[in-house]
Amino acid sequence: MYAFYDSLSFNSDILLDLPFREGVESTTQDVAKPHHPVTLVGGPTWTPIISGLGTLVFDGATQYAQLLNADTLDLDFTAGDYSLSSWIYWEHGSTSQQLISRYDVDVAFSGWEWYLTEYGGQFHLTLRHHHAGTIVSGHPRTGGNSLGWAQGVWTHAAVSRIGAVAQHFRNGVAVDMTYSPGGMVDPESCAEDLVIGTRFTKNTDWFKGNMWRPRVWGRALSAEEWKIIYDIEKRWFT
Amino acid sequence: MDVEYAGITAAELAAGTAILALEATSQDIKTVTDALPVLTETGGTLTASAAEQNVYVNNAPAGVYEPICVDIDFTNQTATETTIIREYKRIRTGGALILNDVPVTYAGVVADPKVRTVTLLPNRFGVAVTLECSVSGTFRDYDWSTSYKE
Repeated sequence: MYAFYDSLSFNSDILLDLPFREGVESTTQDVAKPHHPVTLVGGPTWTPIISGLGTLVFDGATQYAQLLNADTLDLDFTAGDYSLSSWIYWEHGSTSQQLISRYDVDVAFSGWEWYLTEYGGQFHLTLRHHHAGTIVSGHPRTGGNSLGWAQGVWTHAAVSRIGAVAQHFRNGVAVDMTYSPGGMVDPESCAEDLVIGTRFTKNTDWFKGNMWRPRVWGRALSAEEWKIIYDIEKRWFT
Repeated sequence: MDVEYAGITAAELAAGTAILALEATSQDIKTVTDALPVLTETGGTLTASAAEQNVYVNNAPAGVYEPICVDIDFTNQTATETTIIREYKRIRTGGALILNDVPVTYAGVVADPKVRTVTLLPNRFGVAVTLECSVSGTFRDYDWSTSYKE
């Protein structure tokens, strides 16, 4: 007896799914239907954890994953709902540590970024939208963030963007959010590569630690779906 | 009857016991269904080279898993190319990936069916399917797809 990947309700409209199964070399396969080509840059380390699950360790200095702009036009969200998630075991390193991002703040404020911040003893997770054509309270960006993202422990991090809201879920449970004025304004179209583990310029804001199964959906997952995903996958991390 | 059960009828007690049994059964079922293998597919396009390259690899499965097959599309191969497909398997922890079948050579235009299938069997320690272009006019692109349960 087995289940079909596409029949699992939480896999509906999934656009990117990287379970890091290869264990060697510098490419990894997207098991979502788009089959986005993914390149691992700088040699992040294939590292199984005690359960045997393979993960990738990023060194917080030079290592990241990238998906070229031309291959990720379906992830250039400019309107509508979407969701992001990943299992993370992050460590002390850069003040900001990018998880999954596709944005630009040099040429024009555009796209979206999802990143961790360690600042003043607080551990934030933020989803930020960039929109040069829509200035809100004097800023070309809006965002929502949550606190309490502890380092040194495996955690399932997730966000469902629904209109002005970007609700974070930690281990399948919704957490308190704080938003900039106006909530989440639609991001503008972005021509940068999608990056995992670094800033769009690929030279700072490095993620340090283990990561498993970053995913992107073209819809907002429900609280129940995040709980189901967490309940099914937590066995690998306990 | 214990004091804590005072005022509870035998029927109510039986119903409570039945509910507890159902909850336990439900949890048992959930434990099984949460661990059900999932039939998953992935794939891409490999540009051949003179080197032997992995088409599909799972170097260290998280447990017993069931690779099913790797499909490779030879539509782009012409008379000037020869490719070799090899299947490797690791059968003990810490062991090497070793050839699991006789390498298959495709010389020139591949007759229909253009998609050729490498069939794989259950595995616990690692599997790889590789492609090498041993004679090349041009290094062609080969679409591939794999399915597995884990």
